Amino acid sequence: MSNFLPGSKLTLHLFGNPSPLGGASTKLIDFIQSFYKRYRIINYLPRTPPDDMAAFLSSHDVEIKQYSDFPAQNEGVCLAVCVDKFFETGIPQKARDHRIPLVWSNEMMWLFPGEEDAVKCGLISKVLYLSPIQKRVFQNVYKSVSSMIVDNYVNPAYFKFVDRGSREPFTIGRLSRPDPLKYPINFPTLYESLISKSERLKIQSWSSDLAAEYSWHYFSPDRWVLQEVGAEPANLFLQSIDVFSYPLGHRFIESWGRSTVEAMLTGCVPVVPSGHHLENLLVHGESGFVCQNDDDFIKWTRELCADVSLFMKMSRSAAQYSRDVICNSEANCRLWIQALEEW
Amino acid sequence: MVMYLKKPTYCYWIVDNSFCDSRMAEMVTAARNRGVNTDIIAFSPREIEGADTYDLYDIDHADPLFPLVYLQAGLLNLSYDVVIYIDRTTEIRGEIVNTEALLNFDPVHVPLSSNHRSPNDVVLERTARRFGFNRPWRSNLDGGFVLRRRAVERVVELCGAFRKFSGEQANFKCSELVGSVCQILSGDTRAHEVQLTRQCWDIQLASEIDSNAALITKI
Repeated sequence: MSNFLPGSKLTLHLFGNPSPLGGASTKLIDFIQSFYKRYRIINYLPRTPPDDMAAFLSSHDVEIKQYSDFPAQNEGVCLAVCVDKFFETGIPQKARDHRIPLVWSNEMMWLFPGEEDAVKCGLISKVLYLSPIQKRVFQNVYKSVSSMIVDNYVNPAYFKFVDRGSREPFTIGRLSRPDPLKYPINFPTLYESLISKSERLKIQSWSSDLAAEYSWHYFSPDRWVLQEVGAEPANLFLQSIDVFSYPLGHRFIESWGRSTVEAMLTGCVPVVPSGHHLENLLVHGESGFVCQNDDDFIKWTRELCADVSLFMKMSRSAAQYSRDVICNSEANCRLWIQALEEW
Repeated sequence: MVMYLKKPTYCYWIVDNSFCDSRMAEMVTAARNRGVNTDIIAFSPREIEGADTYDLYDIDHADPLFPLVYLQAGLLNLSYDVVIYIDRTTEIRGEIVNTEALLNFDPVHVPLSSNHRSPNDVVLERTARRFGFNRPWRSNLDGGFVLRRRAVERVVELCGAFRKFSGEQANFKCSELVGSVCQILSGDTRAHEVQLTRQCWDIQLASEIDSNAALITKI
């Protein structure tokens, strides 16, 4: 049942930082673009957004408010997406006091401080999962709360396919937050084992933390291009690499894998580890490879480096699969509407 | 301007903590007689002819990780890029021409075999899985290892963590712990198989184990 009158706009109190960096933040940009005409969106931010984001929000009729302004409107629905310290802000209690239902999407594979207590106190009206693997991790915590899975959506218009042809050098790379948890303990040596001679390794995002973690390795500038956060826009970076090889740290589980889909849209062939949601984003052997161990990473990546026709075929297949199967805008919108309007 | 990459410098490194065993001294003499000219750094209670000899440190030599204490401290004062640690079971048969080929871009090399399994390997493999290791396990076959200078701190740190996670009751040799860390940090553990690195080590024992295992498989 819809909880607002036909013709009127539902007020959406949105907590989360739209930004082109990071899966959850990028997701909010796509969400705003899809729904700014349907909802009156008020974005509550802990600090003033950078100019480019302020311009983006303004151009999509999004009102910017501070946390202390909540609720700017005594009605509507509150949606919080992966907000650090959200449960320590007092917002969930305020939402309950004003009878504004709170929809919460964690996005990670761990609980935020105070999240479990908020569930026990009945502050969360509905929880959104990204994937079955994330649901499995949290379902015991959220067994008393209404829930549904709302897949991520990536806008294919921003990640245009580029036919790789025979350009040089063949490049293996990855795009992720510079979080050491996301990198395996043997990251530099494993990555160097993926290539033979002339190929290049290109990483975004690199950081001083990662440099310290791997200070035992010499990153030869002949082989490596290590870029900081935002050095290149995500789409241009992904268009500049050929194979998206994504080994992950053993203490980290990827709840969805947005950058993998973005990479596929541009024509990168994904080579990803098993045990994450990533394996649901491609068909092994057709639109990418799922690796059971590090030896698989070496085997599949080297095969792609050595066999141009295999690479070209899989590049086109990865782009088509991600566009047609994973990035279904209509299906994603239906899920969001169900999540925010049906109670 | 033309720049030349410096060839990595390396040395052999021995710690002779026995006051009555002369095998280390004999090994150095034998190596020199074979024409080995590489620097040999020795820590010993007595002068070892043919090696740069330094006094033993005042540390607990019952701790199996004591060779790493020497490497960590000693390398601060020496400028070698790569260290080849050898124990009294290892024999220097000749010069290692290309240490980079032996290391295969990894921080540490230990001769490994997939045809042998000691009781400790069960514990070591289980512990390695806790570090995210996801490949077939290979056993360490020799007391020696090759270590990159820039990786000493990380290898020592991981050896300590490895022993801690394995349980204090296990009686590991230093080379077993270094071998485990070699596998954890390696890009391609197959590159450290004895078949590929045979010429660099005295691995008679390894050869026997390999051939026996092959024989058993054949039968």
